Amino acid sequence: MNQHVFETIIKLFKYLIFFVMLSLGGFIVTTKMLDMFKRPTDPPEYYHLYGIPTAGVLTLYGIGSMSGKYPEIDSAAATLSGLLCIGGIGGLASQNTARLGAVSGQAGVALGVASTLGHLSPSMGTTASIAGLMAAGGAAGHYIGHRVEPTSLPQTVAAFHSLVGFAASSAAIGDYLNCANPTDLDKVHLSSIYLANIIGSVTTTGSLVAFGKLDGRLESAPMKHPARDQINMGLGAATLGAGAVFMGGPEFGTGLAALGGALTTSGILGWHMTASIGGADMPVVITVLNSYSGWALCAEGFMLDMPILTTVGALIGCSGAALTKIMCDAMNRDIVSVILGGYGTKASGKGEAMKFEGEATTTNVDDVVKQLMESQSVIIVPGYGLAVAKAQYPLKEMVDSLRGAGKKVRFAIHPVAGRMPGQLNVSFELHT
Amino acid sequence: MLVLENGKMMWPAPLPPPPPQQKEEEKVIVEKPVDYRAPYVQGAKNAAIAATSVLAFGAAAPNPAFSSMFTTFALSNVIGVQVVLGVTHALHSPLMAVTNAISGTTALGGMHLLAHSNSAPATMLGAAATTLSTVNIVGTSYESTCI
Repeated sequence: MNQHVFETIIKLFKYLIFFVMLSLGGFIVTTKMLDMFKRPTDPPEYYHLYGIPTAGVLTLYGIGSMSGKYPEIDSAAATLSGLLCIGGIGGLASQNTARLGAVSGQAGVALGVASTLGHLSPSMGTTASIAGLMAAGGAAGHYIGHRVEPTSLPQTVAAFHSLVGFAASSAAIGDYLNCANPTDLDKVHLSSIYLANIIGSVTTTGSLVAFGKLDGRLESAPMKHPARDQINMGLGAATLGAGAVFMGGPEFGTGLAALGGALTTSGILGWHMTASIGGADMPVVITVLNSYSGWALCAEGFMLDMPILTTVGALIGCSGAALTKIMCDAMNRDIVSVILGGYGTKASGKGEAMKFEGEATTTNVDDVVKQLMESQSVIIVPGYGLAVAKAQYPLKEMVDSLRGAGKKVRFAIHPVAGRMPGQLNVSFELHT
Repeated sequence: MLVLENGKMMWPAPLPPPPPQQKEEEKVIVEKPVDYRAPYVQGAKNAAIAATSVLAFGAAAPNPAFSSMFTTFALSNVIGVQVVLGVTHALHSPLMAVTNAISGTTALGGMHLLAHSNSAPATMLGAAATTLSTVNIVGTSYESTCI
């Protein structure tokens, strides 16, 4: 058999595996997801039609990439993938386009994977192992994602952040191990390895603690170590010190030791900082960790020279930071101290604790019923307890009967009500 | 209803006594002169810092690849901020789910590592990164379904 034909067949086979893998991961989930989004009263939706252009673009790209005539088509595909990811978030600007946004994000990730495979053109064995690994990961994600309940979303998000952090750290260390001659690495490469490593590590341990606290596996009270700030400073200094050694471009052994040291100290730092924060502040912690996972991805983009990672990372980093700012504004907290982690309960704070003034008014069911019957306009301010108790359904009945009686009923939802941004908004958008 | 009592008009009933008024401490309000210049000074400082740091990146750039990556990074930040600020408050939870799902692009880094690996530990790390990131992509897609 002619060599060229043989190679083409191998490439074709590669893409076949790849398409099977994508349909396992992305598209089935997308379809299912959109089905689950539907309400019985909604008009029919045909979002699966967007699968046609997605599959078409993937096929076109596959052909173009395989032909070997268009070396720049990989980067164009990566750019398209970045645009689709941006569209994924842009779609959330309104309820009407949110589902389209989700489709766009999925297509973006799928195309990102495709363009990376095309760019790397790995050997047959590597492709097979990548496909196998992704299928395993996809199955695990399928299993976990399927079991998530709406009230346990915040801790699931936290757990998934730790995976991103771990992946970023692994890629950073692996990239360093791969270098034939580490002393030749330029400063940018060194610093992006270092940053991806430590940001990933902080994200991993911090998210694990946040997960534990939100899931009730760890005590949610802040760990009030008297020397809290000193411990943070010490760990921070050790991480920076290891960074300084690493940035000097040492021999392989020294560099790896410095990298490992920074990984350990920043990991402990992430654990300690999150452990020092009370459960009630976890929504802010989750958005901060969300932001961190984005910046780790950015550093990875610089490290591997992959613009798609930088674009998506900056997008996530900004998203997390913007959410953090919104929540901080809502709670009158300072954004700078939040990013640095020195927020929440000031265990080391001195002086008198703030006095709560005023009186709380308690009531009972009969009084509430009487008051509701007498009032013309009602404003309901729900809290997280309502989501836990799944009280949105009885509440909806109550609201319906009040509205039926000609009363004006409105909701006032605090931006940080719930355990992640907008958690209660979602319950109400869907159920009332 | 009691209207007359001993020839005295009792209707309408007298209002209950008003709640005792809390004595408001008289606060001496010292009007501070408004410094109109200060915000501009701060703004000029911030602008100077931002512009200088961008130029510093240019000075530190080792190769054209870095410069183009830096451009991508800077523009992505601007786009990111604009797009995220456009998201309605009600959809902040799906926003976290979507960003979580697309952060699974760390898989690309893992794949890169697998394809270029020249040692067993590097292969292991790449494999771990690829697998865990895919858990993320698929898992969070479901997450957006619950919300």
